[in-house]
Amino acid sequence: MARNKFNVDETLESEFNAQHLIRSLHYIKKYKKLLIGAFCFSLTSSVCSLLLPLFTKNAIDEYIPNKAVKSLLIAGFLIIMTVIIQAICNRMRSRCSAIAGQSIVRDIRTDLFVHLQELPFDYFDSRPHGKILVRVINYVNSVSDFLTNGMINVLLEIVNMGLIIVFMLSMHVRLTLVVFAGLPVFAIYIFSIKRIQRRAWQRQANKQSNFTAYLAESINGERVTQSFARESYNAEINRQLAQESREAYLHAVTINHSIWPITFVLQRVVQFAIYFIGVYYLRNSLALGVLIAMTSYANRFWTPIQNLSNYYNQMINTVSYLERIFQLMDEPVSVTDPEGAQVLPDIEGEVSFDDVVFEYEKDRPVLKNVSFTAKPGESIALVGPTGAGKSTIINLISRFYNLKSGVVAIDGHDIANATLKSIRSQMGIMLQDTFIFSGSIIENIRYGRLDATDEECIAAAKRVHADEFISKMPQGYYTQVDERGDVLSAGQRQLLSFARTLLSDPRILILDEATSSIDTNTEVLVQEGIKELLKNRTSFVVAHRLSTIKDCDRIMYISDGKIAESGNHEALMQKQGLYYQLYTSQLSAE
Amino acid sequence: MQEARWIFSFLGKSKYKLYAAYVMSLLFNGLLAANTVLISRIADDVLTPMFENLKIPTSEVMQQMLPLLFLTLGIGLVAALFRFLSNIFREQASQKVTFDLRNALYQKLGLQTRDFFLSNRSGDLINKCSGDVDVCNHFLCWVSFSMLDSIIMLVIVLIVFFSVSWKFTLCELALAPIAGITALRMGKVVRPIFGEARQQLSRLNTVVQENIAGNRVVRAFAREPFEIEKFHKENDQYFDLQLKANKTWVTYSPILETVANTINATAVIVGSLLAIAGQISVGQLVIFTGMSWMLNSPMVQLGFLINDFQRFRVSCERVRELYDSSVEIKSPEKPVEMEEIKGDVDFDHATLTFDGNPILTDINMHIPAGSTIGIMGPTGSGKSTLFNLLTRFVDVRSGSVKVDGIDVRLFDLNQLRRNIGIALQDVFLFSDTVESNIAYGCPDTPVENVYASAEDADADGFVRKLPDGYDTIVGERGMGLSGGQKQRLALARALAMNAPILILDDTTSAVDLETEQYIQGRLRARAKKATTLIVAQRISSVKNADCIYILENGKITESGTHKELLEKKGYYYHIYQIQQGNISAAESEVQQ
Repeated sequence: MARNKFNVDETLESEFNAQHLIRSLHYIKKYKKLLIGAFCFSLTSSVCSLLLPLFTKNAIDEYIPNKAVKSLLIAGFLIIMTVIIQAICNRMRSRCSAIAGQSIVRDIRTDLFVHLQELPFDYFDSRPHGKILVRVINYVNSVSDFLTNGMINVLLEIVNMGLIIVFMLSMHVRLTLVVFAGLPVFAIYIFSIKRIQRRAWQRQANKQSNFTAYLAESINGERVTQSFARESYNAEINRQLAQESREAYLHAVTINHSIWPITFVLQRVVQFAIYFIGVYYLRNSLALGVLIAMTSYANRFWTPIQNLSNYYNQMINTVSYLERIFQLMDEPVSVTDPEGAQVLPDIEGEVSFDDVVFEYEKDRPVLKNVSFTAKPGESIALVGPTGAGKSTIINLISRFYNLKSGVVAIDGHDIANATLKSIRSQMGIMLQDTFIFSGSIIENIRYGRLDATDEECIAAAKRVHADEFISKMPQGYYTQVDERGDVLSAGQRQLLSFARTLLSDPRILILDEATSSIDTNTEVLVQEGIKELLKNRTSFVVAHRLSTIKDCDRIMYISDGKIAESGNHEALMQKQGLYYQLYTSQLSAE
Repeated sequence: MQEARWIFSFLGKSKYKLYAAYVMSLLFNGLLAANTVLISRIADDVLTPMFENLKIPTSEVMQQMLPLLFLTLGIGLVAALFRFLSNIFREQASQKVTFDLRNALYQKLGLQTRDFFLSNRSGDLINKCSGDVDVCNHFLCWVSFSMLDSIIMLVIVLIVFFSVSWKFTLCELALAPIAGITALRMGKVVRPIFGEARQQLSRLNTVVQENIAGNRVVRAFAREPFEIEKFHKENDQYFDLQLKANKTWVTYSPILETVANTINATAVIVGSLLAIAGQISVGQLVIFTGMSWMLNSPMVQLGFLINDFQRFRVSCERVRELYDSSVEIKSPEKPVEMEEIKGDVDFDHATLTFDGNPILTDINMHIPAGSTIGIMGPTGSGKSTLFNLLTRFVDVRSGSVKVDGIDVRLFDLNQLRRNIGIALQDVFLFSDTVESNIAYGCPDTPVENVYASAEDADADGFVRKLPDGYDTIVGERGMGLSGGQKQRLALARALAMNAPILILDDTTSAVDLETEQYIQGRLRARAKKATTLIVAQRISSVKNADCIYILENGKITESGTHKELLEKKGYYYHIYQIQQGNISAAESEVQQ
């Protein structure tokens, strides 16, 4: 079981992988037009910004000496027009890249969320929820800027650099080569730190994820923490995680900040070399204007490189988030609709297991060749020791897992070939874990059938005798509840969850320890409701209360992944086997 | 600016680091300027004569030029170092603030109770402690620097301009008020949008978080499409708000940009006109046009800064809201010192109301140290709330709850809770190893105690069968374990505390009777007998208690031993009849 907790880093490949960037193109492609538009607007705006120096030069060289007021004003008017065009272009660019960027965020996040809906339980059980959350929310926000503005700016800088190179080459080829001489040094530096830099950012992302995971879990479990007076101990763990995250960030960012000074110093060295070589070797073949222009271009040549190195930093950072996003997207979906899956027709309710073998982990079978058939309308109780496989059988009926071998069929249709939706929507499952969504009580009941009217929801609540406590609440059915708040007691939650199941009007009903926290009086009433509910429905019940078990049409004693005994209460009692032992021992316990 | 002051107050000694970073950033800019001057001197004093007079020997030129060139190199090195250090210092200083804020907020969360968590969704709290703190960090580290740079640039350029020509400067500044008004207006419009966007992110966070936590229910009801639709709604809303913020930006920023760039253009136009009129010299015009970018760039920056500043204000306010949130239940300033708690528990006319509705009315219970009491009653009658009074998750409205004869409100909160081992009805396990979960209340306890507690809770057997035994990591909320298993771990967790008072809130509802009886036997055999308070639905769970209380509608309606209560023929007797009815029917069946 590869499980993860808050202070365990997730391992990732250490080599830089451009694959992640290429894969992100899939999301960018859709907004190609917007991004190309943004790029063109930026280019236009850059060109406009070059016109002002030209105007200044003309003013000093021509208009002022000639006192040409009229030409000055005309040119001035035109320049102000370009200023306005520039502002409009920048506006359009900002709009285009904002739409593209936010759309990409929305798309990636949607894909992640949709994928989450298909992942197996094990994925959620095996890591802190905060680590999943941080991918869907925070990381996605972090990548959008590079994928839009970053990309555009990189292109702009490259164009910019190209133009400067052309200018330089047209002026003086040999001095241009001197300017280029600085590049290999820079490249070597970037190359040599690439690995550490990437590790540093991966580490930073890991530490951030650990921090958030612990924070999220702490908030949800605050009640327990306070009950055990562990606040200061936890605060120390939080402090440790925050400290690790701070150190990891500072380490990574120091590497990033080291790049700029290198380019700056190189720029100075190149400047030095141009003057030196220009004077020492090329004195006779060089005009002063060219030398001065070359130094100024050399400086300008390094500006895009400095900017590019910033984007490079941003890219390394983005890739460390992207790889986690894609890692989640690549998480295999084990249970899914097969090719050509069929929609299960309205079901009668016959459930059959034929030689079913199942294992959560390889070579540790939990169910060993289980076979049985439940007739439509039959109620079946599953009893047996903890870990014998009762819950597993229930999970397989809803196809929460894939079988190793054998067939589970409903009305003779192998459910492995049916769509999940058509199976589960005809099945009502009341789990041990009740979950209350934030919202009103009535919304929580309606979760069972989305098109139910308020009246139908209230009727369902009445049938499970939840109405008594709901109507006493300050806002009745519209009282706001959520998972963590203690507005509802455990018994009340079970009643709500029961009403939810009842409302869904399933053909097959599964009750997994559904009434354990409900008081006896209410339970007697609820039992009546259950009996009514079980009528004409196939049902599977896991319970500890004898009365619930006894009334079932058939009882299956599950032991060590096999059906050890099967039959109705009377038959099993006469047999004086495992069930008999269980039953009598429970009695003596009373 | 109030927000900025608040965030700066977290710097402590690190403020010197931040100041040093500011100074070095200024020095860096100064060195850049010095370099420009040096280069122009090389051009004017060395190169120009050299190219004009080819007779000057190269060696002589080099002799003149090399020292200057080396100086530029030296300045470059120092400047690079300054900038590097400035960056590192500002990162360190603002990370320090982030670190302190994260810790302070975390501790604050630990002090909050019921009402606070009812009105704050966890998605929102997570965002405040992570995302919003990061925005504050960004402000300290970058935005405040850009602001300072812009201000200094403006001051320098204005001094130079006014000293050269006040007429020209005034012409230049004529448009500035438009920029100022636009920027202020933008700030005002954009701020509520940023606020909404942050809240929307929290809502989105909540939807995703609940979907993850409730994934079993979602699957069971095949509600994936509904969840996706719910998600789309919030995701789209967030998208819309982000674009709305951008809409504001693209409405106002072009005005700012046009004004700023027009200043550049008019500098040339007005300057040229003044030069033609003979008001200023061409040299002065060169100064103006050369420096007008310093006037223009702060104005372009102004838009970004206002935007970032408003974003910061919104986040800072949210962080402060949590930071300043009032704590309702806290330790008294001078708590009662207690070496050891014996475990007497008294409810003395304890009464509690929420929103005017009575929850508990006039509760009187005297529970001597070492005894066991049982509490039964209908769902929602206030049984768990009783314990909340004892552990101070809520305080009584009137009356009192006492431990060893002392009002619980007089104890140090932590000391009080450390003396109460509690197994909550709603089992929450942490995604950590089984061992750490059992030792949750006493992290330094020896493993033997963990094993012993697990044995007493009948958890040892199944734990050892887990893939990694006690080192198996259980899922958040104990997902992946059955209800009975979770309850037994929660019980072991409470037992491991070895506290003088033990609360079992419906702890054995999901375990079978045989197991329950085993557990009860183990509890009785424990060396140090704790005062035990048991809430249960089954008669069997409370039958052997020294006293059983029946709680209905927040009032104690019956109390006494099992025998006494049966004689009263009230609620208890009724429940007994129902449960016994099933049993005796079964018994007669077995005998047949």
